Amino acid sequence: MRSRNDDRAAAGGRSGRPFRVNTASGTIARLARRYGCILRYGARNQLIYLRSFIMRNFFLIVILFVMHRLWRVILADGPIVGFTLVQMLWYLAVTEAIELSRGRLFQDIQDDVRTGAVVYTLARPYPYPAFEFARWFGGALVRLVPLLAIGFVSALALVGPLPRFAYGISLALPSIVLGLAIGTLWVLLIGLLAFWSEDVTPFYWIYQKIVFIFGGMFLPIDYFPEWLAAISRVLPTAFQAYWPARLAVAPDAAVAMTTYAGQLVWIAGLAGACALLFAAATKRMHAHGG
Amino acid sequence: MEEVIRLHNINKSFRTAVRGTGLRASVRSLVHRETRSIHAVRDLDLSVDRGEVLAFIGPNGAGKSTTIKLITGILFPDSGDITVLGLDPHRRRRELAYRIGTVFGQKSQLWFHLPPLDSFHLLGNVYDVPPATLRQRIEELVEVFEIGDLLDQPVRKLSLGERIRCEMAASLIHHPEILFLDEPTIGLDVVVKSRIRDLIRDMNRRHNVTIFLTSHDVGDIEKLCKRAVVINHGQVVWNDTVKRLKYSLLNRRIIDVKTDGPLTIDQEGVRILKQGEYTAKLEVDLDRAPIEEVVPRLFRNAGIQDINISNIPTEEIISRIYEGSV
Repeated sequence: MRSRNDDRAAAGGRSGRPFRVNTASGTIARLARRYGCILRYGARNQLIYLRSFIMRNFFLIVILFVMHRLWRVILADGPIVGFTLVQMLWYLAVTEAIELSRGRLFQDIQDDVRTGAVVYTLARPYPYPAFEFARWFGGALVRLVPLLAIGFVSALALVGPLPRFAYGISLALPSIVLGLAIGTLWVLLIGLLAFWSEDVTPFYWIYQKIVFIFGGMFLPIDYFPEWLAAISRVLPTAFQAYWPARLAVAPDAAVAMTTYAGQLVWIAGLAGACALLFAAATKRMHAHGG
Repeated sequence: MEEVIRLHNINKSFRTAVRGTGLRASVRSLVHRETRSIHAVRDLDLSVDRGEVLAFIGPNGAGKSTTIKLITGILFPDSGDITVLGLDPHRRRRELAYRIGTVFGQKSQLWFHLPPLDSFHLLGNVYDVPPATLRQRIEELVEVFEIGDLLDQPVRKLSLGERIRCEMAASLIHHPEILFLDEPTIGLDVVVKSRIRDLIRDMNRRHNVTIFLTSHDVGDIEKLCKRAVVINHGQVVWNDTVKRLKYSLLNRRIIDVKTDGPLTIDQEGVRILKQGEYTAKLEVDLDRAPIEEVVPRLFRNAGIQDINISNIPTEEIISRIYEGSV
């Protein structure tokens, strides 16, 4: 059924005016529809390769198996800083799934910058970083599902069920998605550095190692000396991996709320940083002719 | 006639890094990067009317891309005024984006692994086309571009000609008033080229879409455009009808032949540009010597091993304009 807005906008479109409806709610609905659509097609695009992606990521089982052997020895005398062996393995299943599903958006951006294709996106009615984020995040969400499934099945087989699984996962799931958004924004930010650096892969490596350590990828932050743990807990890398995984294995509604809030703050901060960096990059494109 | 594009006295320069040769220069560039200014566009004046199909041609590095980037708001000029559809393209780039369409070879609008229909829906959403209008528009474009059979095939599996047809349909999803086409027929065979040209002409006539065409293919210019603007070193060196350009230059062909002996030809309208013992390069004035007469004559006069007929390259057109032979 055609809405009044449909008719108004369609009439406008034919007369050569943009199809937009310029009210605050209209703008929000328009942007939600646009980026929702980009995200959906990003997910659809990823589904084409899902089978090969799953095959490639079966090594997650190997990682969890090795980790299981290692932590079984470390935790032989009982839990350390509150983590049992069961919790530890399920924790690692979550952090690994977030890390592996994030992907390498920076490479696409780097290619667009190198070939000069990025400059032509300025003639489109959307900001390039927002489009790339939505496209890539849609794909990352699709990749996340099988990785979580592989991780959970592996953890179940290796150490048995996680206590309060349903409650934990219901609290952790929004946080996992937000953590993935933080990770995608980081990789977007690194990709945008391609306007200044010919190869941004080293930046990605550094970032990856920072997530490994300060994001609690292999070792929960609680194992650090207290002063370092206190700093690490508020870093975006912790909100990307540590907090979502911790929520899954040690569910707590109050912690969940502060985690979501912290994640939203970091998402806003990183999105702002991406926008500023792209604005600087656009100035650079003007100076160099695209 | 309503003017949809107007450039007045436009200048644009860029800075580009200068890299010296040798190790010393490389080390020095780490601490002090030298740059050089390039004047890409100089005192450029140009206007395009609504519904016009304009050929915008010039050799590589002439300033064509820079001019298109200035018109679409991607770049801003150092000096001068630009108005496109009554808007300042740089200040109101997003608003202008809703009213122009682009087919740039460097950045496809189609998603490589998805069928074109998905890209059409996506672009409809990106350009805020209401769902009902979008459905209707897709149906219309599918009919015009005859792409009904291609809609559900992944773009990566389409031939170049099929992809270009889909690409053009994608660029028209939001009813643009001006369409920028960059080399739309490059790499296509003769039959497909002709089809694409028909489609461009049809689109222009049906919807009064202004076409800003960049092409190195003389055939595109001859068949589609009424006016040609030739640019070189950032300046307009020719701005007149294609008819006049055609009369002076485009009605010529270059024939390269390989022979098994020296070639002799004495025919009005045929000029030998270069000749070796077994090769020759001829220029044929089609008004005085139709190609269908010249070629059989060549075969009669010499043992032709190989023959290639081509248009006069853009670079040649430019140099003849400079020489004043046009």
